[in-house]
Amino acid sequence: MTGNPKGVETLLRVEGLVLDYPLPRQRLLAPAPRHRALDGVSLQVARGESLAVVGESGSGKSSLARAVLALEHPAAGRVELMGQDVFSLSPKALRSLRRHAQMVFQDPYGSLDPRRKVGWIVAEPLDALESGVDAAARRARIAEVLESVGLKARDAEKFPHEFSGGQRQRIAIARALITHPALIVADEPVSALDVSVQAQVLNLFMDLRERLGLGYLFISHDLAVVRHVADRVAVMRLGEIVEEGPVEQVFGEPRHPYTQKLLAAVPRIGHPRHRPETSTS
Amino acid sequence: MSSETRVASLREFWQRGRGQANLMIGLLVTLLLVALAAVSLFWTPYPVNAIDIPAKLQPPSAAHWLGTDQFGRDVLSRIMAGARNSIAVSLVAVGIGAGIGVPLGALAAARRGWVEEVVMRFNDFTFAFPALLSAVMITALLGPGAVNSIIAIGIFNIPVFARLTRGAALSLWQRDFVLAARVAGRGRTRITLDHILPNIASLLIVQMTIQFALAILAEAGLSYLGLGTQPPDPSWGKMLNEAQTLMFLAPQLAIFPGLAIMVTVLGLNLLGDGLRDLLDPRLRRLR
Amino acid sequence: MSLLSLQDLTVTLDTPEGPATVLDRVSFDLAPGESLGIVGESGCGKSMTALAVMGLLPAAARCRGRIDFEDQDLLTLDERALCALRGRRIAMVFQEPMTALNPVKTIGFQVAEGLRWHFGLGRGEAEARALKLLDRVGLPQPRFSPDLYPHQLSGGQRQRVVIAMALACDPALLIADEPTTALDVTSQAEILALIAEVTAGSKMALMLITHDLAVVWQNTAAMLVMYAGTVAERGATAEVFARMAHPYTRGLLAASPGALEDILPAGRRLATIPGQVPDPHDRPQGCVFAGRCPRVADDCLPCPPGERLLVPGHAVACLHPHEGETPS
Repeated sequence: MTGNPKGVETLLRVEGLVLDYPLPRQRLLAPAPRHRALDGVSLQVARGESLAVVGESGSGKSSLARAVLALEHPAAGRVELMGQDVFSLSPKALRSLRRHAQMVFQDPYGSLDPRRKVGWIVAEPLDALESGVDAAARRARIAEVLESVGLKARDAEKFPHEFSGGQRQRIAIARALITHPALIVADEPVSALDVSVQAQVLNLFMDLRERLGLGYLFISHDLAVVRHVADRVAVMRLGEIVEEGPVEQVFGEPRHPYTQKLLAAVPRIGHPRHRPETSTS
Repeated sequence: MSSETRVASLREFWQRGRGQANLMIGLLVTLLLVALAAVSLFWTPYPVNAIDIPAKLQPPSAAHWLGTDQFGRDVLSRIMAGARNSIAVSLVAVGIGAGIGVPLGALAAARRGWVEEVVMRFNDFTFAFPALLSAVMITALLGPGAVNSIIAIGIFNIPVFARLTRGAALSLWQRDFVLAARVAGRGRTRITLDHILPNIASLLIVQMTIQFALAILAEAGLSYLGLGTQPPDPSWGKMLNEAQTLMFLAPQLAIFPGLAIMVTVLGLNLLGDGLRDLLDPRLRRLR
Repeated sequence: MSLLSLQDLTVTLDTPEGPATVLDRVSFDLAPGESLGIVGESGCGKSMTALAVMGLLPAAARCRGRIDFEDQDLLTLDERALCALRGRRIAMVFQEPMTALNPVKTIGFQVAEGLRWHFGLGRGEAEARALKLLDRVGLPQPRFSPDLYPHQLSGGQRQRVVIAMALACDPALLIADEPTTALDVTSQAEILALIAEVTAGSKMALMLITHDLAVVWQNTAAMLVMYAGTVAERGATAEVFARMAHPYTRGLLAASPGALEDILPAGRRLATIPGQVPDPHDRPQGCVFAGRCPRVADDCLPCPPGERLLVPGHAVACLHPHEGETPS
């Protein structure tokens, strides 16, 4: 952790965020209709805290992830990263702020440029955001992050297609870590992975958090996954947060009917079965 | 990318490409054409423009493999020199088309909004005229000649490349690795150079071979109409034009340049098809 | 008498890197009205098994063994005979409902298509039957008109249309390949309940392919755990879950955050299975799981373990299976 302003406790503060997407025009001259992806979302992530946002497709959770990193421009609302309003910053100031917030994507096959070597991919945020890193230091930083996610330094010389899905997701995590960020926004980072690999990557997320004091904004549709990595959970539906609270509380005593419905829908071993005539246990 | 992996992937390409008949035939024909044009630079069986009236309109023989034309000029020599002209005109024209069209398309995809509107409307405008017709219009405006036919053919290549580049780039801009580069703080220009262009390079190469074939046809067409290469310099289209009045007297004068055009275009199309199969990432992943 | 019977089905794919064994001596039986869950991770061969039964293996595949369905060996049938079976006697529900439906045809047309093709019904009659089918899968009239197009429906509703298409000709076997993986949690539960409802109380057999142990637990009477193209463990679902004899099955369970939700406190490390599935071009000689197995011993390496019966209706292909109850 270097270069972070001291004394900032709230890593991320989102207030009243509204985001619209234009839809295709129905008539030539009529204004394009808009789809409201986020409808007044507010949340906070403290330093070292892990906040999970759960919701189904169309709930706006991925739009939230993008808006938080200033990849989308909201119609209203504020996003403060380390105390700075990201939408009022100059492009240069925004760039220097990006060092502190990085992202991990869902699809480990789509998020790595197939024509670049792993070392290049991992170092991209470093090359873009930090100037004056000499070649030796750059190599050392690449080796350091690759090793911190359980890969080898010499993997930097390989291409993404030489790795399995789980290893690719490790590469994506390494890329997010190289600028020593304080916040990682992870958009469904394990939903494309196999069960046993998913467990490895989830454990990695938890290890990194302990070791580096990272804060997470963890976007997922999978409640079981969320329960493992989050301190607090926000449940999203149709662009709004319907319930938010500590993990134990939301999972133990869900208050909103939608949360209750979501929790009831998760298939679980030991729960009643659809074919009771065969259930002997 | 180190040269080592380049070599490895080239070798891999070669191994996979060898099995493809169309690619191999296309490559062979194209190389032959280039060799023909290259040789003509310092050697042709007879001087290209040497007039020898007593030997006019000879059928193919041991002395003149493809016969002679109405001025007694050796047809083989003129076809070889014509290949040089065709290649030069097509190469520069496709270069103009790709050189202006690709940046325009990439710009449209990167900026969206009004920039995209302007670029694409300009494209539609150019596309609205049949390619050859607009080439005729441009040469009529600027005057006939090899240079002007290059410009004319180049201009109608621009929208082809702009459109292709924009379409492919737009879908790449939706990909997560581009989003990752934006999170990493990369600007649009750097993303275009580092991620977009390398990923559409194979597509563009294939399109270039197809446009190259079309440009050879267009050059022949313009020369045939008397708007391209000017006499006495040879060009395949020009040769066809001159053969027209002698069709029944000396059909070989029309047949050989016609064959040259046909074989070249066919070869380039085969090469383009083969390259597309070879470079298709979906086919590559099936390994 | 069994409806579907696989006997030592071995499928080898010819690839530029050499032959890859994707299924290795897979055998199982499925009787009319029964339900079988096939569970495993990607590359374990579960989808290949479904494709083999449908006769839809890629052209580069070579098969050995037998696939008996209604007393015919499917591997000996020609494409015409297979076409007559597909959709008629064997139907399939796919993972991705958007790609399984034709975007430019109405849902009524697509549900009726199979009826017109296999039964030679007229347009009017087929579409009347299609309405009943849509109603049966929870898309009642007039809210879900047969004139709707796939893009006008949600993911779960699209999957209902796919199920209606599968049910149209009243097949003897329904294969569902990850039918809920692409869906939201809430529609996932509804679709699984629908599949259970339409197959229960009929003679239709169900083959449910999934990566989720909990889905198998809730939906099928018997199950098969596959790993690297082989069957690791099989039996009545309740028996398998009570014992979890194969180290891979236990590893899979321990690694599933959802399955253990009620047992494992939040924030605890998940158990993982170290390493990766062996490359199908280069499978080890002995037990395919040996390289990742915590219980591996010297006798695992020379040759693959045969299947042995633990109790009637529960068999495991492991020389050193876990004994005793599942830790829960």
